[in-house]
Amino acid sequence: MDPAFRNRAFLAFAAGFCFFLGLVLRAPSLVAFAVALLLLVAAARATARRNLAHLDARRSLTANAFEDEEVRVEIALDNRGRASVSLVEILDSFGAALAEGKALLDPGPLRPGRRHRLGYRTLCSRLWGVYTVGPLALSVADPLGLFSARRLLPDLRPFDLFPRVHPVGGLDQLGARTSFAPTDATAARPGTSAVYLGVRDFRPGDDLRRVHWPATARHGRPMVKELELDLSPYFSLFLDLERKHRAGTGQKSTREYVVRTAASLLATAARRGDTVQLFGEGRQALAVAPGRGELHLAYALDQLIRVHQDGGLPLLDLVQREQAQIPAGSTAALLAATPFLDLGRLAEILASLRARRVLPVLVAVDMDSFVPIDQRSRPRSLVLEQAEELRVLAHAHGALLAIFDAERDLPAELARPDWLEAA
Amino acid sequence: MEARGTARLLAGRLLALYLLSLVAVAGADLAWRSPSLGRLTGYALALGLAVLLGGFVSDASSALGAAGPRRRARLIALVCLPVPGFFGLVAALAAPVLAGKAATGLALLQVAVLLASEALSLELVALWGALVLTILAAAGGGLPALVSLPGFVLLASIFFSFDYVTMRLLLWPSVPAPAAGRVLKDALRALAVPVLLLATALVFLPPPSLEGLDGARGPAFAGDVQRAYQWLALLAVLGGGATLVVMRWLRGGSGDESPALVELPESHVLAEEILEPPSPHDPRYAPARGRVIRAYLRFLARASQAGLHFERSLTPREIEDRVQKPRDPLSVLTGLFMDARYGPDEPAPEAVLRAEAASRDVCSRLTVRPRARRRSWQAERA
Repeated sequence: MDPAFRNRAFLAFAAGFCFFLGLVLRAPSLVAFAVALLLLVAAARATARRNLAHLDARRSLTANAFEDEEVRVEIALDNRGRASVSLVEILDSFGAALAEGKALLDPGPLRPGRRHRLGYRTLCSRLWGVYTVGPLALSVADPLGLFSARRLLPDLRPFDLFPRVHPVGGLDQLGARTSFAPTDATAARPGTSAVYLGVRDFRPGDDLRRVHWPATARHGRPMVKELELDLSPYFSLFLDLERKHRAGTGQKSTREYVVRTAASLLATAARRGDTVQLFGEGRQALAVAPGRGELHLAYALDQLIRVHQDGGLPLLDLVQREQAQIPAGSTAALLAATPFLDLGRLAEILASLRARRVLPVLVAVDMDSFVPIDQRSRPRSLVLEQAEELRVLAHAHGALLAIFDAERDLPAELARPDWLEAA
Repeated sequence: MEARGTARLLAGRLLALYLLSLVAVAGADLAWRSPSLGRLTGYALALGLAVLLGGFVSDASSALGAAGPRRRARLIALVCLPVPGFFGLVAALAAPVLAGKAATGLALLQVAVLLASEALSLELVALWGALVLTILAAAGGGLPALVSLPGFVLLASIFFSFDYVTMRLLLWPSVPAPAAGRVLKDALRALAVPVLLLATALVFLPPPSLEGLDGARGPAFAGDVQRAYQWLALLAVLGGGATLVVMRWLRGGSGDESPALVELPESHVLAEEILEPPSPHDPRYAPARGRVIRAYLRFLARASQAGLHFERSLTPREIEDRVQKPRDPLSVLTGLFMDARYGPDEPAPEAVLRAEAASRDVCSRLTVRPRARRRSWQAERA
């Protein structure tokens, strides 16, 4: 039994009993005693409510985290009333953790016009997705502990839990990269690499530090060194979100494999300094504009964890549509949920990319190795045959290829340094 | 440090229970028997020993590890122990000549209950025993009633307060315990009004006594009772202090030497800051336009509660014309609302505050009518 209920029930019973006795014995002292007990209970209830009415709480935390990451949540508890309060219980709900309820107790005293900052740490132990943090519940009792008042603060906010990312083996060997490391985020001047190209006549606006003094002396007019132009490292990722390529459930599903692989590819590219962009076509279009840095990566992952395999546009159509967005000399990854792509069209696309010095990377998840949803699984021999044809095609066009199936451990595969070459 | 603080609060809780029992027992005894300092000392010692030994009974019974039998014993005690108290009280009130014996019997029962209260969580039974003794004291009238009744309210409330804080801290072992003095201060603040009112009422309405012993009592008897209470106060101070010292000595100091075996949930105050008054620029209240509109909507909701119903086609100015009073604040609110809702510029912070103040003013002057008596604006107009 709740001790608060037990105590106030006792007081209420005592008041009733004494009131009855007071009436029977005609003893006003007992009646006064009963009234005092009731007054005590009523005052306790009013105090608890009054204390709570002037309390407010606000939560601050990061908007996202990776799986199994520890998150620190800070809660500011304000007392805008006129009396100090003690033993305020704060109950928060953190959806991304298995133990969802998080309780804190402010021992107090929280004096009027003061704010206490409290915090808790929690592990994001659930799988990736969009979770909810909140609401916050405040609970405070009167000094005698007879009544506990509780208020729910509608402080609800989404919390993005990103898939755990692994550095993708082999990806760091690919694509354009700067000759300086690290480079500036922006380069206003053309041709500022470390690679020497030649000398030319001085033009107004040229940096005096670039003047080539021996050539100036030889030619009798100012000459400057000319350097090659760095190609910006660029990584484009195309996702297959076609509905008919759904297979499997939960952690063993094509969606899970596609999203986890995409997250690792994006993170690896973004963290080595690439400008990354992302395309997909589910029921809603997924298009993350080119950008760099951790903030952009967080945005891309935020968009990624919201995707569903509910689209109707084939991957190759998507690549063809967005081909103009792929800069020359960059890396383009095609993440398909099945190896059964139209090989003829794929060959055309790969040739077109190679013609623009784009390095294609082809990653295929074998949907037939997962539990089927919409259609029967193809025979294993047919899958192997298609994989072999895909391998030949990729080899012929200088594309790197990797094929996953449900039996392989995804994190271990992604971390293999020869992952892309191995295919 | 936390364990030491909790131990102090536990001691305070036991002390409150002890003093409550002592005041009740002494009140009943002095009300119905001739004052005897020796007997009072005996009661104080017996109750103190019961409280002290109760803790050890609890430890010993927990060492036996028999949770099931203990639960059954508690249930039986909860059902059976209040019964003698009730019948004792009825007997004393029905036949005042038995009241003295009833007081003695109930005092001994209270000693037994205190002895078992820690082991079987019988605090409620102990409170019931104290209540019965207090009623007995009140029935006797005179000074014992005057002391016992407010004493019960005071000490029972203090017990509840310590009990609440202690139970909370047992659930949150990592939270630093508040100072016992602070808990006591909060409790006294909460119960000051009821106790003072009760004391005043008892002074102006002196408790009458039942027929019997009182007729034989004279001024000398009243003086003896007063002396007995002085002696009791001294005993309470000395006995309470001695009980605390002995408890601390027997329990072996602070009790925080043993390391925690479980990972304690983190819960402590990271920082304390002084709050600034709410600023109109606080992003929580943004945008300003929304605040003005919400202030106007609050007025509309309040007007609806007050029985005023407006058609959707009415403009704010028409609504203002139809609500007769309060005229001025409503005019201000309507103007600010129209600027915010239809104007091109974001309202200034001052305008937001004025709109909210006007809304509060209007709402406070609109009287909410009971549901049955509410009328629509159309009906009122008709």
